[in-house]
Amino acid sequence: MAYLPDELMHEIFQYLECDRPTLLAIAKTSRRFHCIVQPISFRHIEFSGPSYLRSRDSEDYQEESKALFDRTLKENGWLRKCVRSIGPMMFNDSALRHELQQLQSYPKLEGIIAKNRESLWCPYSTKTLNPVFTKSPFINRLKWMTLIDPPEGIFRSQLNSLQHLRVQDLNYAQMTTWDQYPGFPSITSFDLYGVQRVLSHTDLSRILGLFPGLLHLRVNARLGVSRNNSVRNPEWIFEGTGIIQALWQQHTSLEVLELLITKTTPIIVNSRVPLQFAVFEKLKYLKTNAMCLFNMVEPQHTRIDPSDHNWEHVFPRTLERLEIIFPRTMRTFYCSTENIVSTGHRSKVCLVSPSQSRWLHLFPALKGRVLHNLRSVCLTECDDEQGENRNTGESGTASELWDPRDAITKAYLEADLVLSIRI
Amino acid sequence: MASASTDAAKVIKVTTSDGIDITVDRQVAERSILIKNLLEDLGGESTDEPIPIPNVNEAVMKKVLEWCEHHKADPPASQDDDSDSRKKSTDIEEWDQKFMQVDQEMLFEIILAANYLDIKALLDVGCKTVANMIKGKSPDEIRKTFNIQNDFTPEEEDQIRRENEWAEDR
Repeated sequence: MAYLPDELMHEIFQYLECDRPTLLAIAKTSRRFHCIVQPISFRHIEFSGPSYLRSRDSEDYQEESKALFDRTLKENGWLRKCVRSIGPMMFNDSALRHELQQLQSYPKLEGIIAKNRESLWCPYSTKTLNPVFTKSPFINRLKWMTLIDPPEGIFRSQLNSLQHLRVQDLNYAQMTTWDQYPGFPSITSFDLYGVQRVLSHTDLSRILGLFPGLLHLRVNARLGVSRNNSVRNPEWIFEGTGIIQALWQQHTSLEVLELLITKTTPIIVNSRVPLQFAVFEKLKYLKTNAMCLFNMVEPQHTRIDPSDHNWEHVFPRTLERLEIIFPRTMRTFYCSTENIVSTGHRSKVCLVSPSQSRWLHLFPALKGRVLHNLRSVCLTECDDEQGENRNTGESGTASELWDPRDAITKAYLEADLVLSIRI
Repeated sequence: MASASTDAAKVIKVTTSDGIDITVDRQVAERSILIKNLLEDLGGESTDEPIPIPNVNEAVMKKVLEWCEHHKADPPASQDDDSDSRKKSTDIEEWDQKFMQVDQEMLFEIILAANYLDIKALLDVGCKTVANMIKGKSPDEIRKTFNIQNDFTPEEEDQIRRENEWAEDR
């Protein structure tokens, strides 16, 4: 049996640096593996409760987990040097200075996850961050930050080293004067995950105006325009053209774009054409809902027929990878869920019928004509159309490959295009 | 002098650890930084002389060169590491996945060879393949995969459990 030396095992284990259960299993195998894997398993520290309780209510468990982590550091001080990211930090009012000092003590820290606490705000105004926080020396080392339910002031502060910002559960209501803020030219990657209200494309444009240098953008939110002012039964219209314009005005050079619209019920899709992503002339990766491309939205079933549309304006020529999220309720890939449910086992199921799966030929055909760089198409079916679990960022719940009918397999093979269907 | 590169031989020879000479396109062999540097040092002259590769046997070398042949036109690896290093992906492209469907002995030999020959992209694919093999396994299953013994004392086991208690599902 070939023997891989420690440095190669280290190289291998690095690929698992975010896979906590596997890292733990490796640590428990033998002294040698424990030595190799220990520094890696202390790179990304995420305090979380038990997996069945991972929600906003699990803060007590997070505190407990943090206390246990502090105990470990007390006993093995050198592990501090391994820590690159940590969170979620609660920043309790009374202990803010102490907690910041602790963060300062991780020499390689480059990312934090922070949950909103009033202590992050300036005591006199909710519009600026607490200077105790912004003046901490480690702030200038941070390359990425995840903010859960962030205070408004975060968008005013000068965080010049940040490259990647992720915002979850944004409370947009308080933010009305963003246009006047200096913005973050250093940020190349921005994730907007969940906003506490429906965003119009003007709102979106305002938010994105803060990040002039974006290359990667992931939006996972409710987007729409209110049609009536009824509080009881609000109606929302999905304005695809407006959204594309809002994105494109400021961000023509995007390379990665995820545009996942969380469904607002009821929502009306206004346009009869797919979103025109082709305006992003440098885009390599696109992930979006079927709603944005095929008008697929419940209860409306007025789908766009792929055969009567000019798809050359939809996808940019530079595109390499495409991922589309389909709502599970539409049963795009099979006619019956019976055998899945009854056996609990997902065996191969054919696509409904050749006539209904005809549109799958769209991508190999497009590759031949315009999308010469396209390498893979991934179609994922999800319960909630978001295709993403907000807490873990993992995609999809199921990950099995289903072989579509032979003709389709052949078409993709001939076009040298990888098709994966996850349902 | 400007034509030096066109004068350089189009094919070269390497000698494997078991003494076999393999002829290969220079462009293909130069996916290996080790071979590329050796050829540069030789100045493109005495390329009739086979280059000795004492750490890699014929079977493994052929496999490695098959990979180099398929990837000879790849652009050089970009350095644009995602700032968010947490996103280190274990995705492997289709062709490479099939290429790596070999027995474990061969897989490890390929990794060792890629490391020795300095072929970063192949090393990455090999390491990702092994990482995917380990993913989700129990300590016992990992021990079996790597043929290793549990050499912990009960006290040490307890210590490890303690230092990782913060991350355990409780």
